[in-house]
Amino acid sequence: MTTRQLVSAPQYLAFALATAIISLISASAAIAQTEACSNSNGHVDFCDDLAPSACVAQGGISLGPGTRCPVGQGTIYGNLNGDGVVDLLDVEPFALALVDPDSYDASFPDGNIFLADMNLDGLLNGIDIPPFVERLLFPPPCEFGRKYTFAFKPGGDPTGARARITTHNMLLCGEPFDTKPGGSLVFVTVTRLGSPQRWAQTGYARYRSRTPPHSLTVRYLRYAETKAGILPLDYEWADGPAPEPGAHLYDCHLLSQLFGTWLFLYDDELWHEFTRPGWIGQRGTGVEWTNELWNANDGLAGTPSKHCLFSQCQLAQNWNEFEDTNLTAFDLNNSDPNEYAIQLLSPTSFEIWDLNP
Amino acid sequence: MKAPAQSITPYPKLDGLRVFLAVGIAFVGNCVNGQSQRPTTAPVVANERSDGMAALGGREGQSRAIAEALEVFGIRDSDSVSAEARVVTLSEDKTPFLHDQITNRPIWQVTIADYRLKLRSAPEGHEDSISRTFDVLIDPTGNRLLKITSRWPEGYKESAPEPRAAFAEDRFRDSGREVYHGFPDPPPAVNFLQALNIIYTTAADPYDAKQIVAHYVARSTLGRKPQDVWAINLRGITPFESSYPGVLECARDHKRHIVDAKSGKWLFASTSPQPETPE
Repeated sequence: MTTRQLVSAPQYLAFALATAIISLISASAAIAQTEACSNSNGHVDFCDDLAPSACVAQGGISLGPGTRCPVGQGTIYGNLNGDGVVDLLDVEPFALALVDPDSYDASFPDGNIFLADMNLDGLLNGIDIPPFVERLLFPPPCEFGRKYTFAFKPGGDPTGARARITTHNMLLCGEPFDTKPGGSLVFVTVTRLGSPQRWAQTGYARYRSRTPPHSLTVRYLRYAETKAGILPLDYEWADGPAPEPGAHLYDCHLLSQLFGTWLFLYDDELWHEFTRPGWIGQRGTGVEWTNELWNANDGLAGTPSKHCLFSQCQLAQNWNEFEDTNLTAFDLNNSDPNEYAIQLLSPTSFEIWDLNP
Repeated sequence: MKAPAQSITPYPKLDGLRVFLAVGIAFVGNCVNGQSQRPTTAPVVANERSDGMAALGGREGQSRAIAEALEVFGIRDSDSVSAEARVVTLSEDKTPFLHDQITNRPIWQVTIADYRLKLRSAPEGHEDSISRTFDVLIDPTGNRLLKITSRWPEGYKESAPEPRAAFAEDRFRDSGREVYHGFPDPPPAVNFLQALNIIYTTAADPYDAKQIVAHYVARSTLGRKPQDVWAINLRGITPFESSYPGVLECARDHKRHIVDAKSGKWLFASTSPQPETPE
C-alpha cells in the first residue's frame, strides 16, 4: 500500500523561499564567506571582537567573550533591511548580504549586515539560509494575553486627551502566516473609574480578527470608542480609514458636559462624535496614552532601533482647552519590563519599544 | 478595546470587587429588549395584492423589477440564480429616516433564494457557509432600489432584534449627526456585491455575517454635504474584541459599513445603531 505524502503550505513556502533566495544568490555570484575580525576602526561593528564589558561600554549587546558585539539594530537576526522586524522584505537584502556585502551596505544604509549570521557561527554563508527561512515561516507562536505599555496621569477631572503618535513595526505574532487573533493598538483615552467604568478613546489599531476562516487578513484602521454605562446602547465603536504613514495627532474631548458629547479628531480634523447620556454631568478621573497588545508577542509600536514616540501629550480640564501634561517617571507603566521598554523624554513626551520584536 | 483601569503593574488587574461588579453588570445589562419584536426575517407584508401586478405594470413591470434587482445586486447571469418578483405592501420597515418611502404602498419584492456569497477577493474555493435568501425591494416604477436585506438564517440565534426606525434615527443623530436623506436618482456605480468586496478587502468579513442589510442612500454626517453611499449592516458577526466584561456581545456583533457608491472607497464603519434599551 502506498501512502501519498502531501506537502503542507509551510513546507511549500519554505521551499519557495529557499529557492528564491538561492536564485537571487545565483544571479549574482558565489557566496563570499565573510569572517568576523577585529579591525579597530573606531566603530563597534561586524568586524570587532570585544570582551563583554567593552561591548556594553560601547553601547552594544554582548553575546559573550570572544564573540561579536552587535549594535544598532539590536539582536533581531534576519532583520536585514533595518526596519526592526523580520519579514518578506528582508529576503532580498539577506541574499545581497551573503553575496555582495559592499552592495548591501550601499543599498541598505539602515541595515546591519551582521544580522544575516542566522546560525551565529561568525560567518556569513549558505548555512545561514535554512535558519533564515525558518525564522520567516515559523516565528514564535502567539501567546494570548493582553499587555499594556502606557503613561497614566490620574486626577484632575479631565475632559480631553491628545497626543502625536509615531509608530513603527506593530507586526502581529506569526504574521503573515498565523491565523490567530492578534492586535497592536495605540491610543489616547479619558477614563472614568467606577462602576460602570466609562471611557472615551481614539487611536488606531492593526489587528487580525478572530473571524474564521480569513484571519490571515491583517486590518489597519483608525477608531473611536465610548463606553458610558451598562447597556448595549451605552457603547459605541467607529472605524475610519487607516492613517497615512508618519506621525499623527489624536484628540478626543468632551464638547459638552450638558449633552455628553465627545468629539474625535485626527490631525486636528473632526472625524466623528458620540453623544451619550451616560457622560452627562461626568468628567474623567484620568488620562492615558497607551500601546495595547492582544498577544505578548504582538509587535509593540517601536523597535530597539526605532522607538514609538508619544509626543505633545496634553490633557484638557476645561473642555477643549488643552494644556501640557506634566508627565513624570512615576506615570509610566509597563506590564512586562522583560519584553518592553518605556522611557520618559520630557513632561509631554515618552517613548516605548519592544525589546524582542 | 479596553481603557486601562488604573496605574498598576501588572496590568490590568481585576480584584475581587471589580470582578463582582463586572459579573453584576453582565447580569443587569442584557441584549433582549422588553418589546415583542418578531425575529428579523422576511419583510412584514401587510398585503400581497392580487391586482398589484397589473397596477405596477404587469409582466413587463415584473421583468423590469427583476432586471433592476439583479443589476444593482451585481448578478450578471440571471440564469445562475432563482429570482422571483411579487408586489407587496409592507406595514413595517426599520430603515432610518426613509421607512415611510417603503411602507404602506405597493412595491416590488424580488426574492433571490439559496444564494451564497462569492466575492471576487475571497480565496479560491472559499464557500459561504450560509445559504442566504435576499429580498431586494424596488420602488413601484421598477427603477429604484429601496433596500437589500437577507433573512436571518434558520439555526442561528439573533442576539438582539434590529432596532426600530425611530430608535435608530435617535442613535444616528447621537453618533456623528448621521442622516439618510433619500434614495439617490442615479444608480450606484458600484453594485452591492462590489461594495461587499470592498468591505472584505478593507475592513471586515461579510461571510461572517448572519444577516446583511443594505441601503443605497444619500447620507451625511457632521452636517456635511450628503454623499451617495452604500450603507451595509453586517449583523450577527463574530463579536469583535473587548476585554471589559461590561461590553455585551450584542453591542459588538454588528457593524454598519459605509462605501462611496461612486468611487468604491470604503469610508467608515460603526456599531450604531446599537440594540434598543431593555424596558
